[in-house]
Amino acid sequence: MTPEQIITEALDNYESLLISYAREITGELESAKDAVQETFLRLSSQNLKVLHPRLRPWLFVVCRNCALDHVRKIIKFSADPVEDHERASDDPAPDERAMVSEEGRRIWDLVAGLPLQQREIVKLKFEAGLSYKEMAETLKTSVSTIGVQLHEAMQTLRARWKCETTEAA
Amino acid sequence: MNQDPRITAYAVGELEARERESFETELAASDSLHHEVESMSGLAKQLASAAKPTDRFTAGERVRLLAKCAAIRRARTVAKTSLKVVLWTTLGVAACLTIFAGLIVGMMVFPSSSPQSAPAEVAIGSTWIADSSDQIASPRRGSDIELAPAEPQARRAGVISDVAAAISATPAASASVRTYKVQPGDTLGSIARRFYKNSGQWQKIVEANKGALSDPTKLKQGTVLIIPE
Repeated sequence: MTPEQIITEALDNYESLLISYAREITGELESAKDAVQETFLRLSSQNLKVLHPRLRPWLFVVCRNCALDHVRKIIKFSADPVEDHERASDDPAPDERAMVSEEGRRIWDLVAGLPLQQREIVKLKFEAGLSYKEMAETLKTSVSTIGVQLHEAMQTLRARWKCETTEAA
Repeated sequence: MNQDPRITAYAVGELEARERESFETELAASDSLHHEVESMSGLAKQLASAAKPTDRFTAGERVRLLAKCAAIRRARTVAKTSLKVVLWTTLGVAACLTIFAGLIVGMMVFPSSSPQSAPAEVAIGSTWIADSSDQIASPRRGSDIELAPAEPQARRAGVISDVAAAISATPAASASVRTYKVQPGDTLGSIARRFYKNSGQWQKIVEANKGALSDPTKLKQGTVLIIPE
């Protein structure tokens, strides 16, 4: 596979996932796209034959860094940086998500209410399909921390989902 | 609520084989744990089965992005090729300099290795043998007299005498000298006539035998005269 084919294939496979993941951090679509574009430009300057076996975690690590850079720029040039960052990260715009069911949409709405770190983990696991090890590499933490945080997020989601279904009933 | 993170890890298939076996043993023994796992697996399936996000680059954005990526790849290839050229050129120059320096050092350390001074390298025990075809003398080690440095002194001396004998056997030294022993009744004229067919050549005989002939007019019987050519 040529480097150009690797880049095109990576764009086909991870474009939406990376935009969604970056949007979770930046809070809006255009800056998420900028972060993903920067990710692919950085990818182009790499030795792709060496990188190819671990391409997926690499893309998410770099995408995350680019999105965080964007958030830092917003903080730097904002009059009220902390509030702006919190708004960007903790109140993300709703995804343009085509859910298979109403139930699925409601669960992902509940995900949006989780803290940023847990949202990232849930997205990386259930949207992008990363393993614990790949998530640990992306988030620069340990595999056991990933396990604990995902379990906490799942427990919170389950409790909120139970409340929501009980209220609806 | 159970705080054991293995429940979620098991539900999403992240437990390693040994850990999974151990967990399944616990699972079989506990109804509440079994209920927790079922509940968490259901939630995980709902999350995973929800449709993937649909945000994408527009066609124009995608084309521009791929073009930028291609430009970066081209620049990278050019830089890599240039680096290779510089590297190989540097290596080539370094190799040439090393060979040149080696030659200079070799000439300084072994100055006698030049062809003009080759005879000086002939060790004791070697013999100079004239090449019959082109008359150029070339050194050839005589296998019977070749010496190792540790060989006994006596043999070394013998070889030296061989060399001396070889030196003395030059063409000039080995040329035959004609002589004649004076007989009763001989005169210088009769001897000159015998060897030169001319009695007037007696002076040549006198010249060659100045030491032996105190008086040319009185030849002694038995005197050995040198008869020059």
